[in-house]
Amino acid sequence: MTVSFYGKWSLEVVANVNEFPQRLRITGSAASDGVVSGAVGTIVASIDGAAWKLSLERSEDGGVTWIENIENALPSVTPLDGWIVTVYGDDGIVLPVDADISVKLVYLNPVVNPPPYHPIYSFTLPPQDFRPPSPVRRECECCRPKICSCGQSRLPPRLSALTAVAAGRKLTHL
Amino acid sequence: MPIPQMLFAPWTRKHDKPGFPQIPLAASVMFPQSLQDLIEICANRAPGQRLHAAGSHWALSPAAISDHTFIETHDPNNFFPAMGRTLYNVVPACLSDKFLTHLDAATSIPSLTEAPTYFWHFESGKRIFQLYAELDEGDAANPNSLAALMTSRFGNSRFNGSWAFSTLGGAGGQTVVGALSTGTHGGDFDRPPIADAVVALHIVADGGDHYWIERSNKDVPFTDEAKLHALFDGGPTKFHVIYNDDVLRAARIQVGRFGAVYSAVIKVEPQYGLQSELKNTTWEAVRGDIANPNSPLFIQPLHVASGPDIPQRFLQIAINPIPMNNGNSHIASITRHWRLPLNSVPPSPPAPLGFPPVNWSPFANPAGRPERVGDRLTQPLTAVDPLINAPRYAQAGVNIAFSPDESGRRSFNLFDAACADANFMDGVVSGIYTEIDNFLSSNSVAIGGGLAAAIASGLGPGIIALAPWLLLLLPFLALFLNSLRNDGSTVGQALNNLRQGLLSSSDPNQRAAGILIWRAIAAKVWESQNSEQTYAAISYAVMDAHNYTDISCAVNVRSTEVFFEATDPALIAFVDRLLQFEITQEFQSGFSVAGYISLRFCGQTDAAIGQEAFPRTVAVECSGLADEMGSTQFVDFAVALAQDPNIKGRLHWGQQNNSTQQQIEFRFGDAPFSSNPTDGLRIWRETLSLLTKNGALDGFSSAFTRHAGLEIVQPIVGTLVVSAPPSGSNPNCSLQWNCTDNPPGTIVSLDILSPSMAVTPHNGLPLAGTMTFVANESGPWIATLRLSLTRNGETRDAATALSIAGI
Repeated sequence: MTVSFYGKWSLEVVANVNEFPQRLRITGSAASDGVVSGAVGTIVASIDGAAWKLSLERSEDGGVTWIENIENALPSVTPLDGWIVTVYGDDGIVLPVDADISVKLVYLNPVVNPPPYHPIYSFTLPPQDFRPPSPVRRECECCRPKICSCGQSRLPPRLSALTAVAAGRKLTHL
Repeated sequence: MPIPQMLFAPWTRKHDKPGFPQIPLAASVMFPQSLQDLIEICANRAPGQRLHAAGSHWALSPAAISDHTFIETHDPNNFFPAMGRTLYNVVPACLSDKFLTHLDAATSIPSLTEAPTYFWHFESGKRIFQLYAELDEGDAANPNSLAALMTSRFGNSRFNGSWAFSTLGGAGGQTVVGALSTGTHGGDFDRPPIADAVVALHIVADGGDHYWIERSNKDVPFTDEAKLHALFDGGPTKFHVIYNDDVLRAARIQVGRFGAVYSAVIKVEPQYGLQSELKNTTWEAVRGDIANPNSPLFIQPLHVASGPDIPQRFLQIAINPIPMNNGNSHIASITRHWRLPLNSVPPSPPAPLGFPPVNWSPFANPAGRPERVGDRLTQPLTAVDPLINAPRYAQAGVNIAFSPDESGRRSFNLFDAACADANFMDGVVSGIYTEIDNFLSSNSVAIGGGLAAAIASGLGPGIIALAPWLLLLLPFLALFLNSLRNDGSTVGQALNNLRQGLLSSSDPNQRAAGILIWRAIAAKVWESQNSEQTYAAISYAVMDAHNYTDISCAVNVRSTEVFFEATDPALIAFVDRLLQFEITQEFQSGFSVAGYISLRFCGQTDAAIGQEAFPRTVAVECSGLADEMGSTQFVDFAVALAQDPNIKGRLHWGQQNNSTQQQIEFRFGDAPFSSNPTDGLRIWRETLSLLTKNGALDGFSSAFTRHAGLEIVQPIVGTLVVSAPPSGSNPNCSLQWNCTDNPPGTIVSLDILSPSMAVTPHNGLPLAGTMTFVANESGPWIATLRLSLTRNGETRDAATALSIAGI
């Protein structure tokens, strides 16, 4: 069974165990119809079209004739590309990890798959800096921590510590 | 007596922004009180003044909006009486004798009485909480009821008990008919949604004809057709009885397009209890189990002291979209239900902690009954409150969600507790303030706190590098708390102020610090809302988790719900992509959703355009407070994602849904050139054709139905006859056609083909008319009548031809 796609995608052959010669066939696209090599690393930067199909084909006679593989398309989300579909092809029904050929397609629709953001900040702390919680203290309105709306009463001593932080020293004994 | 009506009045939905009516000036809002009123409204509609029925106004969908006139079955302002009666004129008065005999013998009748079953007939303005209260009390004491009939005729008292919905959605404020007409569902994966409990519907269509619709009459008819006609014939318009499975399938979920539902009969089951359990984990830990129906998510049995294990029937996975663990995971609260015999439900806590037994059942006080239904306020037994045309119960639809510890905080709505308790957010934010303060003092965080939830264990500078900016944000938190305590803003507005202060900085370091605090607060709020617990209560007290005391949170809500097959890998990718969107909007835009993602599982519906189309369907609800910048963006993104043809989610009819005709046909069938007669949308459109003269009666059409293609798209040829053929020396031939049973906008043309193959086209003809042409050439003349209808860029045709001998 061919796999249907809608809209604009990129394509990359990401695995091929070379059990058989492999190739890809694109049909119904706006301008990318044809046969593409099944070699790992083969890239088609953009395939567009209202509705187009991808089939993975193998040859068991050295390239004279080509047979469509059994295909298995699995959508997933990756931190780098967002919505992708990996199409696995094999001459039998196998788990994706055992497939003869794997092709990754990245959805290039910026509305439903905008480029994901890659946080440059790491919200981490060394394991030894996690401490057991303090004993639970019942709080009432009168003993809740007093918070000054201007912050002036507490900020000045802390601000002086910022220099230490900027210098890379640990924030202790402030 | 004239039907109450308001002209040029504002019309709004429950979850819209207060002060900003959805329709500032609705042309007409009518408040019918009876079947006769509905018939009068539909029969006397002025051309161009289209209608749409409205119930509780709980819908979040544009499907609720009328082009012109709203027909209110339950006035949300409680000024005019609701059509909320329980009816006894059909059940039991028109039930067939054969059916009653089977009911007495407890013979299983497929699609009617597979299990101990009772039947309840009610008007369309009755709310869910009202009906579950009435069902719980039962109606054996009413001499007109089915239970009383079974006792008097057969000596069978088996129907004298307490009854219950077999399933419900998560709230009870909607009208029952509104909920079932849009495909509302719960999380009971072993059964279909509430629409499938419908046994019969009584619909008044445009023009005033009204239809009693039931399943196909098989060996055991439910109603006696002659009795129905005796009851309803004789009005100003025609009454029809339709026994047809496909028509009932279509009418179960009809989104208001077929007409105004006057009443419904649903099957109910003996009252029962539910055991509920909530456990917390992460989305990342459970998502791999969803496709496997035998995974622990679905098959965790309930062990009971005596008797066999009870199988699980309900699953909900509620996810906090705001990440924890350095963005690597998302807390997920897993709720499971098991059915219990009612006598296994513990009693409600005694006063003063709890409520006394209800006055209509002083000897049975299962947990949840006094809290969620309470005493019957209208006496004597058959009396009704004139405003709801039904008995009023002290706690029905007025209380917080039932909770074993009376906290009411068991809703998965992220900020529900904030709505119920003004001090809640204050406490959470104060706590996070203290956590940050402590971190800055000690460079360590307490396990179990919000800050610890937001971060991950790891080496490197991590959040210590953010310390200066965390410190700078402490004064902002203090200002926020002062504002929260003093300015009286809504929860959504307060949260938006908090988000803005934390996430809006153009300094990426400060924004990162703000995101950390925001995530810590979100984690703490979620934890407070979803503490692990196990409890048992009467069915409706577990299923209806709505907080009816909330006046500030459940307004200005954006929400959508997307349906997938549980085994569809696109389901997991859909949720993952939403979660990725949230992370991106936090860092890139400084926006964030104040809401939740909830996955609920249900069985397959029989309804022709039901969203629950798969044996195990998953409904992914994405909801947020619109006052909070980021919620609308989040929900809109969910809608766009679902509508993408590569993803092919099905949107809930009753929530945010702007699907196009092409998107609907792609999901429900009946696309152009489709030839599958079992396509759900085709069956639905064929029923619409039956009730509206193939769309000629378009009084219940609306902007929503036209956009979504819930309309007649296929014209049909009526009649084309030769009214006066050529004869003798007179070659004139007159043709007559009538295609008036087609929607406005249908284009008619007539082509005359001579024996010598010359074509004379006649375009722009009326739907009915006559035409004469000269057939002055011997041989066959062909007259071809063509109809064409274009909707949303799709054109469909129909044609018929006649052969006439020329002279």
